[in-house]
Amino acid sequence: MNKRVLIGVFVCVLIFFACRWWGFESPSRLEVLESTIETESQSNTTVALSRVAKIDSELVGSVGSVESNPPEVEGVTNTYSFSSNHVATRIVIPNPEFKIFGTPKFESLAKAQFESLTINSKYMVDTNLYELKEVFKDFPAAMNSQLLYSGIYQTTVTTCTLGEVRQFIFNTRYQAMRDLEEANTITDAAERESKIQRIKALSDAQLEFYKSMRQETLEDGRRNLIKLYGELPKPIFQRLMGIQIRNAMGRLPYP
Amino acid sequence: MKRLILIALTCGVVLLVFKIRQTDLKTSSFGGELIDPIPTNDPVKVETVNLNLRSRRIETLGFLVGTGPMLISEESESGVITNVYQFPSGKLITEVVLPNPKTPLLGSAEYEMLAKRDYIKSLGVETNLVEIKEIFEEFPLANKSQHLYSGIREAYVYRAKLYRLQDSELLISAQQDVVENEIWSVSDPVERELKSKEVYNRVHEEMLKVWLERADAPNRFKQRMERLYGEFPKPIFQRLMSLEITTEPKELVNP
Repeated sequence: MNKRVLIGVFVCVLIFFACRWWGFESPSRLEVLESTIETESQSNTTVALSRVAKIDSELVGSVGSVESNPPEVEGVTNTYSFSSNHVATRIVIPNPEFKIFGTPKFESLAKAQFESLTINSKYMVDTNLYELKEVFKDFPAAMNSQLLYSGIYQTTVTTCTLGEVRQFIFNTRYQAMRDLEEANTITDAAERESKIQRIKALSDAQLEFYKSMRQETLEDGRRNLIKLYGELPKPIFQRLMGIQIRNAMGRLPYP
Repeated sequence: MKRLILIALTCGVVLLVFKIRQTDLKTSSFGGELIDPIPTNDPVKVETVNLNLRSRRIETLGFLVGTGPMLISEESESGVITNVYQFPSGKLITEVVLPNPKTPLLGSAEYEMLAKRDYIKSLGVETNLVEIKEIFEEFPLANKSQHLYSGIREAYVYRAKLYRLQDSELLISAQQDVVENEIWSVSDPVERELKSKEVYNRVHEEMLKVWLERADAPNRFKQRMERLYGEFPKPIFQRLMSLEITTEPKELVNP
């Protein structure tokens, strides 16, 4: 009986390999079916640049860029002066839940949110959330703090904000590119030159502003994690920032 | 008798496996007629390069292999890269990347020398190179090897490539109005419908191609690092992922 089964298995294996060999599942199919052939050199660069998108400030609070005196509001106000004489003020108003940042209440909210997006999720899970947890496991201060999920939440806030800033930078460059294209159609040489200079000055100032915003976002994230754990080794922070989260974790349900 | 049948079947299976392996090796060569070499200023004879397969990677997007878009990337000893993109529509794109003959091979002393020279030269324009070096210096295998700068160079190229691919993705999304204009330039409703289908398919494929490249880039980088140092720890990779490289690396070529 056993020998019959063995022979049967061998016959099946033989048929499988024979089919593969004769092309029923040919590994060379791709070469045969090529319909379009494109070539590209190694030094070929993909040009890239975007339009202004809506600011999604749900997580970081309100991010405003105005050219006037800031109103009396709770939060952090930064004023930027650029070499092009542009002045911009950025007001960051933290979301209400950050009033309890570093407390057990915040931790339990962050943990519930993490679990709703992972083990209790009905949708596709972003496995990078687990990656963040793995990195924190290599950081004893976080593991012993009872505030692990607060750190994960803060990390996602920082990386998602960095993603938004990246989009703003792209938008600025793209808008400048299109404005320059338009400006180049102006027939009057003096007017054209003046317009081009104005576009370049504005876009340079905007890019400078967003680069500062990026730096501040990183600093705020680092400061908040130090607030939680007392210290934050650079390699751990770099590893956390190196993990891309597809979507933000969302607002914590705090009144 | 049964023993004889068993032996005969085993021999048959072994023979078929051997034959299939030979077929695989043949199909992974790059000298096929279906692949167009790219036009370059420097004459390159594809027939003379070493066509031994060094690495092969398969990237898929989606849940099931074979149902969604796929990229098969093969790299030969000589540095010739063949990328085959397969789209859900059944369309295939083959991309052949020929290395510059003046660029030494990764892992050679010449490459290391040029990489070091390039590092020193590029420091002024790309300050994050210092950060990359710091990370590699904390990776004992790289630091002790004779290929420290080769690794730094690879990380520099890889991060710059990811930045460009991100830009490409954002650009495709940003050019929605250009796409709409292209469609609405057709006055006949029936033709417009066909045009719309054609344009959206093209845009979708462009996006899929970028996503596949983005999925493949880290794996290629890791493979090259393992080739240089024997292994490449995940924490080091994660740390490198946090660095933003916005400048375009210059090609490494012998003077």
